[in-house]
Amino acid sequence: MDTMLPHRRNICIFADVSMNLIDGSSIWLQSVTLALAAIPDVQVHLLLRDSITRSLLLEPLREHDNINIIEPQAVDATGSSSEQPVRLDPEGLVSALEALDESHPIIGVLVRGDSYASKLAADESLAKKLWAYLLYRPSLMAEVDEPYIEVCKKARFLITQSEPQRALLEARIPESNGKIIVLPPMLPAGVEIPTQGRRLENCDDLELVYAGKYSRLWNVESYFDLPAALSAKARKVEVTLIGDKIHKEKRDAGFHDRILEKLQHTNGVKWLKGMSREETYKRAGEGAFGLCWRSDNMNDSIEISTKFLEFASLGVPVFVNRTQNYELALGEDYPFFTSSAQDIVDALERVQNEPGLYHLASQRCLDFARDFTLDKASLRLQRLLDLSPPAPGNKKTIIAIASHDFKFITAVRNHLEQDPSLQVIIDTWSGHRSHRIAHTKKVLAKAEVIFCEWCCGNAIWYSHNKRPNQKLIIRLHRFEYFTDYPKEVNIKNVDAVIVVSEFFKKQLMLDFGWPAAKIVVESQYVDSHYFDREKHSAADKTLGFVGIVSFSHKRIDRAVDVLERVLVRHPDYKLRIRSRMPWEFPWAWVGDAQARQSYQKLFARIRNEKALRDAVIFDNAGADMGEWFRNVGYILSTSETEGCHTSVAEGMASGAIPVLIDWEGSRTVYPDQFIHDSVEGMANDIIAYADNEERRRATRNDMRQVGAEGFDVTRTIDLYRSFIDSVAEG
Amino acid sequence: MNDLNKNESAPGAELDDLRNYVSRLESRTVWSDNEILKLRAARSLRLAGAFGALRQAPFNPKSWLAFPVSLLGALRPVSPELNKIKRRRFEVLHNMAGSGSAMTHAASSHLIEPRTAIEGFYQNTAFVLEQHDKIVGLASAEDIRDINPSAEFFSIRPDDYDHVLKKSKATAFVLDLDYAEAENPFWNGIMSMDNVPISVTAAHSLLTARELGMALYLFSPLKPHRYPLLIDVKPLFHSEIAYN
Repeated sequence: MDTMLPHRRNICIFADVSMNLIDGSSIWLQSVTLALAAIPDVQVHLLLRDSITRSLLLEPLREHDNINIIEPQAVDATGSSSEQPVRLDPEGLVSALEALDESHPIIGVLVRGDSYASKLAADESLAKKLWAYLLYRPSLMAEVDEPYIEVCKKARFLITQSEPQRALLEARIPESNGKIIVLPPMLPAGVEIPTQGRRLENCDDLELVYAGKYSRLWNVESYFDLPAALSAKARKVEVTLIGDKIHKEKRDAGFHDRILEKLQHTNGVKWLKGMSREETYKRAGEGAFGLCWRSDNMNDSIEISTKFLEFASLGVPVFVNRTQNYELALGEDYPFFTSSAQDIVDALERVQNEPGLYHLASQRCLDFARDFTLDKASLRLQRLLDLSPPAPGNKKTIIAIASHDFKFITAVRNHLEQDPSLQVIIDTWSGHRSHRIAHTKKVLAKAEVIFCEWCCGNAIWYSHNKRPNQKLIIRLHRFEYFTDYPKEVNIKNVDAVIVVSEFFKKQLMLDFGWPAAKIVVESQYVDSHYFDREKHSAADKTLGFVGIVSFSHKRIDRAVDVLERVLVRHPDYKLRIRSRMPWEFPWAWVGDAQARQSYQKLFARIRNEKALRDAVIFDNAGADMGEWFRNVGYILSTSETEGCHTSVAEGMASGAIPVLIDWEGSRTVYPDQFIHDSVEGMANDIIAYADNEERRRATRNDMRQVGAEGFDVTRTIDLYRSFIDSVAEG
Repeated sequence: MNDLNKNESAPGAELDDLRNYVSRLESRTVWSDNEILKLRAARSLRLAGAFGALRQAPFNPKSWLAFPVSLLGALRPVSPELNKIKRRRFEVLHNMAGSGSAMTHAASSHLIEPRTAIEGFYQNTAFVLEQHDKIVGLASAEDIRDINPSAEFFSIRPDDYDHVLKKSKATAFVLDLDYAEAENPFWNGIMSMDNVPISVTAAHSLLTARELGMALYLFSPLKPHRYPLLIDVKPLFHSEIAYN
């Protein structure tokens, strides 16, 4: 192993691919290693599946002092001779990671390969560090394979190649929500994308370049026909093919030999065999066109090809299938969509007759490729580091989290539990006041820092029993303020109370005499990256409302009032309501006759008034809120009372404009401009935005930033860490 | 739908592609297979029940009197859908993948386009939109009226707020993606990669319609590549109606 630099965060990467072969998978592994290594203070351990027999792809990695390449024989528990090639299997990977973790505590293991990811997900300790890169694309209706469900449930993070793949996973495996980042294919390191597209000087002498593997699905055999087809039009065309990986096709036994024969003996075809990624990239730039025309079976693909991106980043227009993805990327009128050799012949004819066409296509390719640089990939991966613990220190701090309900602290808890320099003990209370006293006493005996989530019996007990050398931090949300629990807390023994708004800080000071210095304001967090997605076009005319239970609290009737007023001016506006229904909660339906009547009256109103019936939609409750918010342009808050109404912050992070009624404390959480005294005011504000597109767009963009800066989960994590660090340092 | 014979490649490649496509179709009939399995299991249970009753009381004359009735009941198809599903699957095998079948031969020798063959497969299920009095789904009411002026049409919402799927007693479900995309904001992005949740909702509606015994019709999208998720639900349809 190479020398490691101290105080760096150790990330391990493993992929079920051979770095001895040059193909899309090994290129990906090379790229993602470089992208991670570009993040400050990271030490990357690239654990290879196979012993090195060819180091073409590894050479660029060796130039980085924070990339440690580990061959499988170096970690092979079976003790095989290092001279024999070794292949690491899933069990071997687990042993290797355990050994590596001993010497260099790992905070994350990025794994590509289903069987390997499954194996790690089954290991309780490693699962918490698992960043599983999934290529799996669940179907809309077929049952999801069990191993993938387990990986999605257990892994710390998931990485997908595309937005639609993320959305499919989120829709079909609810546990994956909030865990996924999208990491599209990336360009080679150091690529600088030109600002101006290319122009074609000579239309009569053209080189079309293909780079990659030779397989039926990749349609390469059709390329051999191109020189002849184009020479019939009296045009000299050379097809250059780069790569030496020829598939052995089960359904076409002669494929391999036939391709080899054609590579060597087809007129107008030049075969450059295998080249490094850098050489391939340079050579691709010398061609007039790239070839990414695949079999029609790939027309349903939702991915972007890495090879396409490489050509595109050079400004080399690419012949490519017309899929939805490429059409969105390049425009419906991109001239080089291809489904047959004849399409290529026709396109080249057009290029000759329309001089600006080539430049236009080149410019579109360049503009699209800008989002796929290695730097952008590093930024995407940076998010996983932001949510991961820092490099472990020398001392291990013991912290406790006590609560009857952890749902509002899950992300912080996950973060802390993943930190090798912390020992996290959980004290789960069975109710607001009930708990296993023996267990709580054990926790108290060990913990150096105690976090009480909610200010209930847990906060009371610990505030009366903690030792002076222990830190106690209480997080009060909203409902506790209206109970007697805060009165019973021994505030002198409390180091800090976290509240969700300035309003509650003031109230706690006034009503309970708690000192201002002990009260810290931090709103309920949201994962702003999870919500930051492109809106659907329909969002411009859609109001959103989350959670309608209970009636007197959430006041869904006011949201319908707002809609009704907006519909007078803009009849095409809609209201999407995402909620569980009141009859799913016995206390809200059976136990509260008045609330039930209010709901029934409202539902009858929506059903009987055609304008409302056509404009209100009830979406099933679900975990995939990130996708749901893509439909929503305005997020409504009509509550009678709230702590900070997290769905408003979520909406803002998604780019929705918040429209709130003036519940107590709202102005201490959200900007004044979005808060109104009445439903009329709310409706008028929406109408004003609807009438001013420029203002609407500007506000949307601002909202993403406000949402990220004001509510992102990293703020709460940092706050918790500051309490822990003060102990560790002291 | 994929147009399978456009790529120029090796001899016999079209036939292989066609076989691949059929095998893909076959692999995506998991739901139908499960249904058949369930129905068969139900029949086996009833058969076991008929013999079991006789075995429990072999000397009771009533058992012998009841036996033929319960045996006949057990042998009767549990659901009228069973035969339909079997036949449909058989047709796929026979028409599309069976070696030497007329359809495959025709496709491989370019006498007919595979696309036509695939539509033929759907239409061979012998469902005709004109035969339904009540139709539910996602399409323009005018288009439905043009095809079947006497039919009553019920548009569905993603939340099925009015329980139209069940209450309408419709016997046919139509899905016109181009209409949904262009004219119905609630279904915006359906079967495209832009809006996966609404596509999941649509898949759920289609499954419900199948469970309710409806015949499912797909209006061929004008630009199929815009609906890459459609392939997931295509096996649910009985028939595809192309625009002329």
